[in-house]
Amino acid sequence: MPAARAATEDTAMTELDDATRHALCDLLLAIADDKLMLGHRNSDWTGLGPILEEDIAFSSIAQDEIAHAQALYEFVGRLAGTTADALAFGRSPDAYRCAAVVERSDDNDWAIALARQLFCDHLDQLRLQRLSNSSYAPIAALARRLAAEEQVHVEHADGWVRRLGSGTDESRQRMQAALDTLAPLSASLLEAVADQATLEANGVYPPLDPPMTATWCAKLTTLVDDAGLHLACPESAPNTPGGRRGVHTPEFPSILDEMCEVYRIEPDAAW
Amino acid sequence: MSKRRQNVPEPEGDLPAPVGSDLAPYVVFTQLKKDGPFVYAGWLDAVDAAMAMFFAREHYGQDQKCTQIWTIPRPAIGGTDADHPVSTAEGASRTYRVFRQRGEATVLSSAETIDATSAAVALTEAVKTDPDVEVTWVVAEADIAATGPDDLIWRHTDQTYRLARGYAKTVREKWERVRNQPALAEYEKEELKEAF
Repeated sequence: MPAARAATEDTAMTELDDATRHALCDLLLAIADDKLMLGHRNSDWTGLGPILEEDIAFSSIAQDEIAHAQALYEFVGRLAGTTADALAFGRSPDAYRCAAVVERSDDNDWAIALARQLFCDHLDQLRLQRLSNSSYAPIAALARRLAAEEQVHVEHADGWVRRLGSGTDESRQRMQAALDTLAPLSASLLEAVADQATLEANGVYPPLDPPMTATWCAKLTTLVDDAGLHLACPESAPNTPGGRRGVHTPEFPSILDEMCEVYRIEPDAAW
Repeated sequence: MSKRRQNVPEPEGDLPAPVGSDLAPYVVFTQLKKDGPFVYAGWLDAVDAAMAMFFAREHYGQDQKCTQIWTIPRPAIGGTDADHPVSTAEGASRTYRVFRQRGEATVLSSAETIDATSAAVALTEAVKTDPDVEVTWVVAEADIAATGPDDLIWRHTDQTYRLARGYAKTVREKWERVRNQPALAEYEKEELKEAF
């Protein structure tokens, strides 16, 4: 979908004012934090996947999510004068911008893990599409690279939802239950970061037409219908502040403690 | 490794016996250089050709950089080895791809194509052309699925952390830094005293 204010070579920005830089850092941290948490959660499935081949594929995608987070943290680090490791592991819980849906445990339920991946991958694809058309050329270049890999993740999630939806009674029932469970929580992905309007107005994060939420819902609903399942897709973010404003689920600090354990022992360690 | 993994629920009692599966075996070949041969990479199980190709990209496609991947349903392979019986069913002429393994220490690789009315005829022709090999396979080209030009295999982002050699260099550098620490040298001196 062409962006409303897509960048051209003539209009591409190479410098950012302070307000835009701050807002862009916040947006990129939201995407990176979602991906880091998702990668961390999905890596729990290594060795436990439903079949060996999917175990390998899901682990590979978990690594991808963390690689994407790393690339985004490095980008923010250059803008904010810090390091990727400090951003990934060195912040207090209220400085993280991830959504509640990636903080949620899948309770060792493969269908929940897959549904979580589905909601996130489809939104990531659209967020990266918007950034690919950014008026700020450096982030547009990075987003285009990540978007190509995100397509692999979307193919994976879509393929499994279609197969489980059209599989056995049990696979259909379990996939439907997972979609029903996670759909309300997936609204947390839609919350805007602070000053997102600034980024939309100056084309750094250009809007989509139709808007991103409507496009996200339409793609998910088409897929889920095609799989013989149904989805009550959230049409807007919750009214109360959530992860994008640093308000997290009760389980988030303990996940963070575990994820940051090594970094806190030796922050300068580099493997 | 997450602490959550320490609490994975164990199934109670005996595991149920498998009651059949819709998984089928696929053989994977990868092309390591553009215009080069496709070499045997391994095999996997999948429920259909699309899933087989996805798994092949995520598994064998990440082992080492490759330009294209082929997946072949195992029953479509006819070979000179006992594991791959060749079909003698005659039909319209089809194009068969030949694969050869020259010796036990070499890898099965793609070779020429042959037009024939059955896999058995194609295999006979392939063996006649090059008899001095360990194994010969023939597969109808129509049974070979290939990655398309837009299918991403190798990633654009930094993937060195996936590779053992990626760890080796950085780990060695870290280890050398640790070894250079005077405190460690002192510690080693004390250790030597105690040992000897």
